This record gives sequence, structure tokens and C-alpha cells, in this order.
Amino acid sequence: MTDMIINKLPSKTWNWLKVNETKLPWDMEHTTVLPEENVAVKEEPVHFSIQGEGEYSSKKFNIHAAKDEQITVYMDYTPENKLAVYTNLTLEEGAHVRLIQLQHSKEDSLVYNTIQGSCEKNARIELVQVYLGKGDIYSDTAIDLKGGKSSFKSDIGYIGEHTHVIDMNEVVNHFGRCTESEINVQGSLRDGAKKIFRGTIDFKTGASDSVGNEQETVLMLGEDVENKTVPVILCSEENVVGNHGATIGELDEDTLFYLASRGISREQAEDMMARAGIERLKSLIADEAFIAMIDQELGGDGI
Amino acid sequence: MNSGKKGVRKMREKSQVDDIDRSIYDIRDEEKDAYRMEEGLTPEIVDKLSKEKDDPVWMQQFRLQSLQIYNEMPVPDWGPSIEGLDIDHIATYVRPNTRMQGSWKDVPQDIKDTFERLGIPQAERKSLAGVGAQYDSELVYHNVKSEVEAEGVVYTDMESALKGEYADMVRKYFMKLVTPRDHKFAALHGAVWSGGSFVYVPKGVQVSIPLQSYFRLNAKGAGQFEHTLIIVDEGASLHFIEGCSAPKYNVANLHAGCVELYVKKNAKLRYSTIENWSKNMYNLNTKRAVVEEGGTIEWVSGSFGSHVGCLYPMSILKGEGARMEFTGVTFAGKGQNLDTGAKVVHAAPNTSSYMNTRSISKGGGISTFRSSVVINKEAKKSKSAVSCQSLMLDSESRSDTIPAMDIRTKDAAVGHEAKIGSISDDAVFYLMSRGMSEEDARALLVSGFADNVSKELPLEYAVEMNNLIRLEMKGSIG
Repeated sequence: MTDMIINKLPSKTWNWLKVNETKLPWDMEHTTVLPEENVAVKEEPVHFSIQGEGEYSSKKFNIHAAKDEQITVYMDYTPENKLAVYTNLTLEEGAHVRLIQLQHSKEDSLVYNTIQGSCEKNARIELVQVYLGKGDIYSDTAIDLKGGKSSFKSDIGYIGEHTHVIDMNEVVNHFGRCTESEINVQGSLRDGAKKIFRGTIDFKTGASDSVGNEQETVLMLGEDVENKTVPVILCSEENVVGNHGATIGELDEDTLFYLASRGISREQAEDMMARAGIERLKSLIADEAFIAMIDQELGGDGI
Repeated sequence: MNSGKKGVRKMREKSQVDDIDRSIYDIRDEEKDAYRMEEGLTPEIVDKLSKEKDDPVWMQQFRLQSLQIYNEMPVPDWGPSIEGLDIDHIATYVRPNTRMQGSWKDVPQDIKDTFERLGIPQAERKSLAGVGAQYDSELVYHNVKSEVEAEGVVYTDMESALKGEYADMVRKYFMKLVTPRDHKFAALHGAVWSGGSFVYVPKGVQVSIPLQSYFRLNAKGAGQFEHTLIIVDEGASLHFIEGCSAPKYNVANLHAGCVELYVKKNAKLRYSTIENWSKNMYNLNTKRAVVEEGGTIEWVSGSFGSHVGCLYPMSILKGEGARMEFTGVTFAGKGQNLDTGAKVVHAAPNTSSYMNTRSISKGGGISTFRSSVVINKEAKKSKSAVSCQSLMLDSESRSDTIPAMDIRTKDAAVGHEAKIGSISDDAVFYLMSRGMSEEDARALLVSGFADNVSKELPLEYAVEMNNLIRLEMKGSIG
């Protein structure tokens, strides 16, 4: 068993906060390496369902979008054990990749989801990640906006329950001029769920006239929940604008009172607001079958 | 309109960044030390220092234990590099050629002249209830107004407090809040501390005008390790101001002071600092407050000097309803790496904290805002808000924000917002169209950006801060 050091914060802070990195024990020797997938020009969206094999398994995806091509890839993870998924995104000039990932794995499972991407001039990555599984999720995304006017948009939604761990790290490196990034994270934590989100927008020298925005909303619903948020902006370029914001807390009394006056109980209200973060993402997904999977995982018919 | 903006941009491209004028702060006095400890840090040096200061036995032991901890602890693996700091070439104790005086006329002329230039005696006459002035490792002047003293307020140097009437109180509180195990430079402080102030404000006493301590490090290649211990008892209030400066040398100087603040039930303490160390200084200072039920700690912090600065005042909100407010501005110019911010731990219900900071980077300077907000499980119904804004004045500089939040109760409301940007060309152009030079326009906009701190300071200090910004901005059209 090896301790993998994952989800490293690009610029360290106090060690006692325990946010600089995560140690993830992994049995490298007994990991089943699943066949690598190469995705290139596709007119239709591509779907992958990944379950894993054996106690530890890993799978790699290489997604290459040639000049001005568009690729949409759907991935859904349903492992029963431990699964590592590595996705490389290479976007040439003017390319556009949409990557939609759903984790709805089994109890006691673990997913380590890594994405590395690079964008040339005018290229764009849109990433949607929905974490609804009963197992733990470790997510590490690093995007290089190399070319001018390249962009990255990330929307993440999660519902953490029981004693699940949701450990996320997202780093956007702005190298090119007029590059744009936007990170939106919204989720809820119940019971004794633990979540950490590290989001870094790094404006490198030369990334003038670039813009980076990062917003996180966490709904705290359990007595034993733990939430850590580390929204970082690193900047070595003058003419840029970087913003980040975070809102963390429970439903405020005014909202609860309003909903109660409409006949909605506290429990229903909390459930509704937790689902709202996921419902928002559904509007970004075109595929009906994929949305149905999300609905099935959410259960019930909502309100 | 467009051509005007282009003009602004063009000027910026052509101009150079000048060195700033720090003549008031950079005047060096010839060293006439009564005593200068040899450089380095060994048990023999610490023992010698302890004997020189005639420490009580417990303090002698405390110093040696702290040294051992210092030797065991690693240098932090985060934050600015302190590779240029070689403790083997730092003199940890330099005693000036005078004892502490209660009247400025008894202070040696050269030292008195330095403090006159810094405006300390004038400020004392005009707007302070008491002043302590430290020169290198010892206080050279300490005085408190008789009417404040009559209310039972104790304001004295740490050495007197350690041995006199308040010895038991000092022993009870000294380095209990910031222990030597806190980090390597807290351990260093425990080993070689010297000077600083002790303040006790009795129950219910409202000290309406501020007390001030000013720390001046004149000696080349020396360290200053003053200890400030303030206890504001139940229902009392105090505003304490700390100022610091040093002339520039071509070797490293070190400041590793320690501030421990105890804010009792329903008490209030405002702690204001204008830090203007020279740009060869490593400022590795530690400040911490513990606030009991209904108490308030307010930090006002202006960081302008130092080559490397690491300063994050910490507040522990221990009692129900305790609150903390941190207002700070950091200005990092050429050759400076200033890593500043604040930490707060909410450890009781209904506590609240608010951090409001501004960082400015110019001429290759690096400023980092670093913060932590921890809300423990028992801190139900607590609230915290953080707002940090950073201004980049050129592309040689760097500005980072590294905040962290650790929330362990659902019954808390936490908000955070941060922004990094540059001075708006439109705003500069507008001011220039009203007859201002570009330099003045930019200085005015930066002063306005730092307004959150200056409006929290007494007028004299706000003026000083704005003058510092103006000095820093001089020749900044680059």
C-alpha cells in the first residue's frame, strides 16, 4: 500500500489546517489497469460507464480535440471498490470539449478522479461534475489556459451524506492573454459528511486582460458535518481581474419561515435546497438518459 | 477619450520606478552600545543574556527550554523564503547606553533626536495617555500620565513587571497564549526576548486616550524580540498603538516580537500597528488575543516595511458573544515579500468576526493575504465575514490571496469575498482631466483604496499612513 499525495494546494498554507494536500492510500501493486480510451473527433456525444474491476482499478482517457472540433463526453462512475480515472484533455486552437461526469458509486467505494487539460488559442473546456455517490470522492483537476482567449468553465454539484468524504482540488493556470475561467461549486452536507474544496486561479505573467471567477456555496445540514474551503487567487500579472466568493451555512430562518408559510416543512425545505444545487447542473446537460441517471440517484420526485 | 487612456498607458510603459524616500526612518545613529551580545544562538549566549537581564530562575529555565524547542523545530515549509536570514549572524541582544528614563530630557541626545524625528514625544504631549520607547533591546523611555495611573492602570516595561509587584501576574500569563511550541520563531522569542511592555487595565476602567509603544532597532545585524503583554480586565477598555521602524543596512536584521492580549469578559481592546521596518528586516512577529464572553478585540494593522514579513494576528473567541474585527493594509514595494493576514478561531456560541483587508503590490513587491477562519462545533450561531482586495500596480509585482475556512457546525454563517485587480485607467484619466498629475492621481486612488485602515486610526497615524503611501507611490508611474 502506497500513500499517494494528491490534491496539492499550489501555494501552501498553515499545516495545522490540513488543507495543503491529501494522503490517499492506494495498492499500486494490485491495481487492475483497464484499457485506455482515446477519444478524438466525434460528431455524437460519447458515453462511458465505468465500474472498475477488482479491489483497485484504474482507467485512462485521452481526449484530443483537433482545431475547431467539438467533443462531448459523458462519464458515469459506479464502482463497488476503488477506482482511479485519469483524463487528459488536449484542445487545439478553437476546439471545444464538454466533459460531464457523474459519480454514483456504491457504499464503501472510492473514486479518485483526475483531469488534466490544456487549451490552445480560443479553445474552451466546459466541465460538469455531479457527485452523488455513497462512496468517497477525490477529485483533482488542473487546466492550463495556454492560448489567448481560451477559457474554462467548471460547474460542480454534490450531496454529501453519512460519513462520506468529498475532497476536491481545482487549479486553473492562466498563461494566455484574455483567458477566462469560471468555477461554480454548490453542494450540501448532511450527517457526518466531510468536504474540502480547494480552488486556485493562477494568473501567470503574460495573462493580461484575463478574468477568473470562483464561487462556492455550501449548505450545512448535519450536526457533525465538516466543511473546508480554500479559494486561492495567485497573481503575477497586472491587468487581470480575479474574484472569489464563498457562502457557507444552513438555511436562514427567513427562507425557512417563507417555505413553512407555503406548507413546506424544514426537512422538505432542506431536501429541496440540497437538490437545487444539482438541478442547476441538470440544465447544463443535454442528454436525457444522463439526466435520468441523476434523477434516479436523487430519488423521490422532488418538490 | 480613447487617446487620453492610451496616453496613460503609454506613459506607464515609458516610466521607471524610483526608489522611495525614507529619510526620516533611515537616519542611523552611531552605535554607542553599552553592551552587545556576540552573534549567534547557543545555550551559553542565552544563559548570558538571562544573567545580563537578571532574570528570575523560572525565566532562565524557560529561555533554555525555548532554545531547545527552537533547535528541534523545522523552518515552516510555507510562506516567503527566509533563506537570507542567518541566525548565526544576528546579535540577539544590544543594550543601549542608557537606562530606562521617565523623562525625555534624561534620554541621551542622539536617541532622543531619533524619537523626536519620529514624532513620538510630540504625539505623547498631544494625544497619548502613555508612551514606551524601545531602542534596540531595551526600553529607554517609559511614562504614563498620572491620571491614568491613578485609575489603577499599569503600563510598564516587561522587565520591571517580571520582577516587581506584578511578577505573579506576568508569570501566569507570559507565553501561555503563544507558547514556544507554536512555531520556530515563537521558540526563538521565548529564548531571547527582551524589552516590550506590560499593561493591565483594571475592571471597569475605560482608558479614553491611547497608550503607545514604539520600537526602534538601530543596531546593524541585530534582532529585536520585545514582548507585549496586555490584560484588559472585565468591562474595561483600551486602545494600544504600536509603531516600529529601523534604518536600512546591507545585512539582515530580525524582528521576532510577541504580543499576547487577554480581553476579559465584556472588555474591549483595540490594537493598532503601523509597521515600517527597514527593507533589510525579517519581520517574523507573532500576535494573539484571547477574548472572553462579550469581549471585543479590534486589530488595525498597516504593514509597509520589512524585506520579508510574516504577520497574522490571531484571535481566539473563547467566550459566548465575543467578537473580533481585523482591518489591515499591506503595501509591498521593491524587494519586499509581505505575507500578512489574520486568523480567528470561534470557540464559543454567538461569536462573530470580520476581516477587511487591502493589499497593494508595486515595483516587484510581493504581497500575500493569508487567513484562516475556524468555527468549532460548539460555536453555534457564529458569524464570520472576510473581505480582501488586492491591487497590482505593475506586472513585475505579485499578489496572492490564500484564505482558508474550516467550519464544523451547521449553525454558522460564513461569507468570504476577494478581488484582485489593477488601478482603473478610467479613474486615472478622470483625475488627470481635473488637473492632477498621473503620479498624484494614482497616489490618491491608492490612498482611497487603503481608506479602510486610515479611517480606523487616530488622525496623526492616519496622516502618517497616507504619507507612507505617498512616499511609496513616488515615482510609481511604471
